[in-house]
Amino acid sequence: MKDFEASQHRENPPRKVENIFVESDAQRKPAENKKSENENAIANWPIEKIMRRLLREDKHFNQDIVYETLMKELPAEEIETKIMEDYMGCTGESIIDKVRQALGDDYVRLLIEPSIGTRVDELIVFAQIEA
Amino acid sequence: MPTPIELRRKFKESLGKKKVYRVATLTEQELQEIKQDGFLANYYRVRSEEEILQNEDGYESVEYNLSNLIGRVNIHAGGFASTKDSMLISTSDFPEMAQYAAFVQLKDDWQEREKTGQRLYSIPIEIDEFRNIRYGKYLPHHIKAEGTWHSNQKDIPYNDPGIESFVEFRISSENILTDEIRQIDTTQIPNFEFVPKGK
Repeated sequence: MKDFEASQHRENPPRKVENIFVESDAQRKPAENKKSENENAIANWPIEKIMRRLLREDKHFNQDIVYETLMKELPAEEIETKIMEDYMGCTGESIIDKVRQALGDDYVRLLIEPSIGTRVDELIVFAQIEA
Repeated sequence: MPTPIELRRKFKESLGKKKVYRVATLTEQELQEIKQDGFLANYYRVRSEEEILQNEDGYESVEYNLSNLIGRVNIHAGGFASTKDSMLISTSDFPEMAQYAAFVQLKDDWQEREKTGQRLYSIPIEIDEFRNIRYGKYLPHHIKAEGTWHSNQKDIPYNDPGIESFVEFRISSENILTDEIRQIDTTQIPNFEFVPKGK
């Protein structure tokens, strides 16, 4: 599996690797851009802040706690940003629209958890049965 | 309609449990540690709590390494970047594929590893299916292909979602089926080859 795919990745590496190794300093790293906006920024980034708190509370390995906390505490804008980053633009937008139309705005936050975002069609069917 | 959090819990429950496999090269002592502590994603395995809390490098942040799911998964699929910052732990529904995928990276220096007491182990895990992040419509393989992974022991369709899946953060020791752990005879590991559709 790995050796088959490795050669092809060199021709078409995913976005994260492009960010690290290929793009110029001016283009790359939303992470660094955020940093320059505010000194000591990282600890205050929305997800980072919550995850550091969970780490101090020794809850950071518990997937239920991690994602239920992120779902409850992250602002809607941050939730959508993470979904768009996770699935890249079009797919991110399409799964947000699907959930919004089928279940309503409140349920979009569930998509920040990969276990749900990757199963969005099953979730919608399940939710409609539960309703 | 249940609330979003209630819906999450019910959906998780509805998916049940699943047996998956992880193959690892370990000394006897490391094997005991896995039995006791489970598996940790590399991100947490190589950093102390203090280092994470004091980190000021964006690339080393939890937030950065918890974002871009497709990119994070693709790092596991190819040899182009290190998985040292990964929040994901790779598993497979197929023990044969788990063995092959692990050993293909180890075989060149396997004799040296054996001299230092390392052995290859197949470690079965029973976990909530919900926790398995799988390839599919919204998480495509980086390389789009149709065909089969073929070996003298098993054939597996390239796009089978069980071929490789990912668990976030930690697989705790309660999920490890300790009685079913077995040492692998490296001479018996299947050698999978990709056969494109139609050949």
